[in-house]
Amino acid sequence: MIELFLNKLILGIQLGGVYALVAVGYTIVYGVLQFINFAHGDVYMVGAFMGMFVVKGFSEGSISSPVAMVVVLGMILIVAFFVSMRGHWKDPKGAAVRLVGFAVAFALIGTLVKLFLKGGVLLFKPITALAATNVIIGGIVALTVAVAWCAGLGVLIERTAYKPVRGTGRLTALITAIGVSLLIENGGQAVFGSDIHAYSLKDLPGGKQLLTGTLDLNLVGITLSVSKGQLIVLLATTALVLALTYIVRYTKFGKAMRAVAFDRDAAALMGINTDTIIAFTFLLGSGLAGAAGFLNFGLTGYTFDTNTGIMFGLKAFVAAVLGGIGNLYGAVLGGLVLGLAEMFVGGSPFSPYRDAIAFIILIAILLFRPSGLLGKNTVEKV
Amino acid sequence: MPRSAPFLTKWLLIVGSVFGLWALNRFLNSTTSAGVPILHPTFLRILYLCAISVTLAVSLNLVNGFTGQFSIGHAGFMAVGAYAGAAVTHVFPALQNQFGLLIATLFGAFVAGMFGYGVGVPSLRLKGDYLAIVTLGFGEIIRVFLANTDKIPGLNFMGGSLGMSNIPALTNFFWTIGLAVLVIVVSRNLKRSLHGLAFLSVREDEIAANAMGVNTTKIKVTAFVLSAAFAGAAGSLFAHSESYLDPKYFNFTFSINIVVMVVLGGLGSITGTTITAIFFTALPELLRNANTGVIKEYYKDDYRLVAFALLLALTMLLRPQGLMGKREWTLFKKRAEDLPSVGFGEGNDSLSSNLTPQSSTLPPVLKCLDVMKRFGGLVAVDGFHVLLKPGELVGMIGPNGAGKTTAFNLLTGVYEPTSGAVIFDGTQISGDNPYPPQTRSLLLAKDALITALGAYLVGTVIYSCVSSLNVPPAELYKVFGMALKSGIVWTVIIGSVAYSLFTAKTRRINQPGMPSYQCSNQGISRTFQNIRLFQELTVLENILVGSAGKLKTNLFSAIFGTQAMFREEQIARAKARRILKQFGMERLENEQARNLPYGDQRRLEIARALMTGPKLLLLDEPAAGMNPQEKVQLMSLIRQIRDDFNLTILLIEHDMRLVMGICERIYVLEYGRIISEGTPEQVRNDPKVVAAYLGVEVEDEQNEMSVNPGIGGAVDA
Repeated sequence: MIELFLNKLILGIQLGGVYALVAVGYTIVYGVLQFINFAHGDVYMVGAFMGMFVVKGFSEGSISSPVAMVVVLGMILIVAFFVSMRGHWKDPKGAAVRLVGFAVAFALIGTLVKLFLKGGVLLFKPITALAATNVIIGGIVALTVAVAWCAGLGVLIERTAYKPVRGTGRLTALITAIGVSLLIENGGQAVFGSDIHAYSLKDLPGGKQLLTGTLDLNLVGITLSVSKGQLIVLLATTALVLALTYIVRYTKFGKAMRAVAFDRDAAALMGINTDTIIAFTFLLGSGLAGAAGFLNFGLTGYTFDTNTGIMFGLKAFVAAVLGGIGNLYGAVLGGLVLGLAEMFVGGSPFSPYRDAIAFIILIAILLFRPSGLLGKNTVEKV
Repeated sequence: MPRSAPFLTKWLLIVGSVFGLWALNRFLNSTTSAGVPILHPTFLRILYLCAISVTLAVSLNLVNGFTGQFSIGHAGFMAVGAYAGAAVTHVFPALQNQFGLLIATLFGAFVAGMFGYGVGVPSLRLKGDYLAIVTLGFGEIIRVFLANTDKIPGLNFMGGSLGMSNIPALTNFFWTIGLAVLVIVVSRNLKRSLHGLAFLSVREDEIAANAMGVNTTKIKVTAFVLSAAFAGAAGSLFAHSESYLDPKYFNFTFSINIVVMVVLGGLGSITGTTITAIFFTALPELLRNANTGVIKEYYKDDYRLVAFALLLALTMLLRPQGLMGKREWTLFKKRAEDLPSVGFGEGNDSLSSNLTPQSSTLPPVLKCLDVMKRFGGLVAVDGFHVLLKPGELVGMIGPNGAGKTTAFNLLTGVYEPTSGAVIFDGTQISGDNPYPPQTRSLLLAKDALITALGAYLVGTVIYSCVSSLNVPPAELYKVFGMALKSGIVWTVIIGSVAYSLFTAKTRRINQPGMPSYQCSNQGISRTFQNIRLFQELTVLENILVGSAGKLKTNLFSAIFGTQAMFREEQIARAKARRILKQFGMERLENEQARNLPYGDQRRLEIARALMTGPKLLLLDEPAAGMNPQEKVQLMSLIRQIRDDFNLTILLIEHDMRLVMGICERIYVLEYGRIISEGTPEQVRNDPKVVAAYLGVEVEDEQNEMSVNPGIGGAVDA
């Protein structure tokens, strides 16, 4: 029984990690703009699709032209990201990142130019061949494409939809976000179709050996078996959340983000380009949502369609509110609470109510702590 | 309809429209001589759906538009009403007729209203996005519950996730349109009444509304319940129109659609909401039906949804205030202005009454006994003792951050004192007021009982999660019995009860003090340091809110527009105009408050405070931001209103000329303590005051500023 319990615990943490990845996106955007980015769950959905295109392209042996387009656009977005970073990595720590960034950017641009000159997707063969031989490289490429696409999409949404309505009131922004969310869902349905999809990295060569089966851990007489795929999701989400924490806490950009979150006008007066910071926030948040989308479906083989983002996004938002919206650690904590609760309730007689448990916990906690678990209780000054 | 019209006209209009609707219903459902229906059933259905949407959107507007709360779980209430209504006609087959539909709809409205109360009371304490997410959560919980009804004995006729079918199709044109018209008329009557003004004041500024005697919690819950009840009625009609209910229909997207209708129509605008509700319901349905022939080759249903989303985003970009903004179209002329013949002389606030101030024999108006207020580690006010005699004009001065505004907040129920007591007019309004021992034990028992029940529920869920129970869903209730045998549950229960009793020490000692609105109704009125006017309301409306807390008529008279309501409103208007005139602002009465110059905004705040009919008026820096000339005018105005309205005034001010010029006594605060009190002359010469406040040691003052940046920073804003 204790094994079952521990097993559920690990599964809960894994699910919670994915919730946390999406929840931090909600929370950092909320921190900076005091605005619920309703389209965030749909960005997660796009991440799942992008990962699928790449993985399916690789596993089928040749890259079809839409997949090539996805990859190329993703790469261009990465380049654009690093180019836009130029001049912002002024601190010593950032210098290293900048160097690497430039190196990657030049290499990519060079490759792309070459590819375009020779004119043909066949020239993806080196990458394809490499990716097709190794599930790890294939997975990393898919993850990168998903992250880059979603990060770009996030910035695109911010620039085209949210920036124009900034300052016209919170409701306006909220309804715009709902509009964008519907646009991605319905547009996605028009482009991708309304079928239910599933894919898995196992389809790549070597994937079966790497991802099938369980890993048995032996702890003082208790054997714990964890599915390898889920273990990888757990490790990857942990790494990504730590990376985000590092960026927010220790880089100059992170400092600027915190300043903008604290007081946007004052930050602007201190010479921070708030527009760039806001775009950067969306970039980070959406990139993580893309990663979550890829990880949660590419490694577990769950099914999804274009409406997957609605419920998941809603629950991730609940996780962010649960932990105290605007607080990074709160989002992670909220995600874990939610993941554990869903996993445990899902395996109990109360499983039909699994979809409601997130909201029940939310209400219970908000009634006693009106600003979430780690949120600061702000009293309006009279 | 114009209120000056005789009552007969009004009733004729109501009866006439009911019969007209009935006749139209008969006509639309009839067939021509050739046996063809007058209106194609498809179109009739679209018409019903439009009316139901209008009901939903306009009722949500009561919460989101009028009271400015943000609820996004409206579909949940509709679902409750739909299932409750359908249950009535299912359980009582004798009621499968038009009368039964009425009963079912009333029952649906009642149950949804009860749900609205249950949801509203706990969650309306939250604000903004938190409230939104909680209403959404309740909506989802209701949906998940309805999807599992097939496993609950007694409710399995509802079908769970498969949906409930075979609901008698009873709904017709009369009921749907009738309900839509009813909700529109109710909203409109409410919006135009003084009660409605209280709703709007909650939207504009909750703290100020509270200070003007408006019970904001009650208003918010009322709006919520009213809105939920209408949604429930609409749900019942919907159930009996579609004959089939699927829990999935009432999902998050559906709730969002209703919110979108309200926002796009213009928050608060009944007209706009109605138009968008019709548009967004009819258009997709019509497009769906147009999906034949040539169009079909090029038309994909996905495009409709994409276009809808684009339209939504574009509308927000191009017209953020919505279709109508806050404006309305009115069929009937706006109500006649108040009749000059109506009298308004209530003795206690007639202009001529002139009591001699400072009659030392009278009991004090306000008595503070060693009031202390602590915020965490910071003691903001300590040993605060103030005694005000009737008719006195007393000043309170002190450096920034000395605790003056905190003291005001303690006197008006915004804050609860940590210790000490505030006694106003012989009534204790807050502070130390221990429960009698029996009451306290009862309260503790109640706490323990509720905690135990909650812990039992939570413990059961935890128990069933961690032990691998295998209970079929239909016998889920057995888990609760099994849980009682488990140690986990008992640990949780005992732990929680112990915790609740342990912390009860701090919770259940004192009877709670009066909330802000009660202090106002007792006769303490105030202005704010940072002006808190109802920005979007006009000057006259701002003042009228001051009377909203003391209305003798109830909400129903506002909704039905009774004569008593009309008369009361006229008296209030006359009084408001009289005050405006005294302040020399009668020309500005239809100006929006936010458009007023700064000095006028300050004076409007005083005027608004006077409207509540106070005995004690607290002015928080009334002269801040005024030029010297305005200050002189203000001085005479303060003296004058003191005499005219028979007031006691306590004022905070930094302008020494004003304070020394008009105050009869002065209290000096520093670091939350009263360091000196007396006549202006005594205070001016008190060495402690000179050293602490009027002194020339600039450095000291700067230090104080840096010690209390939070309070000091707000002053100059």
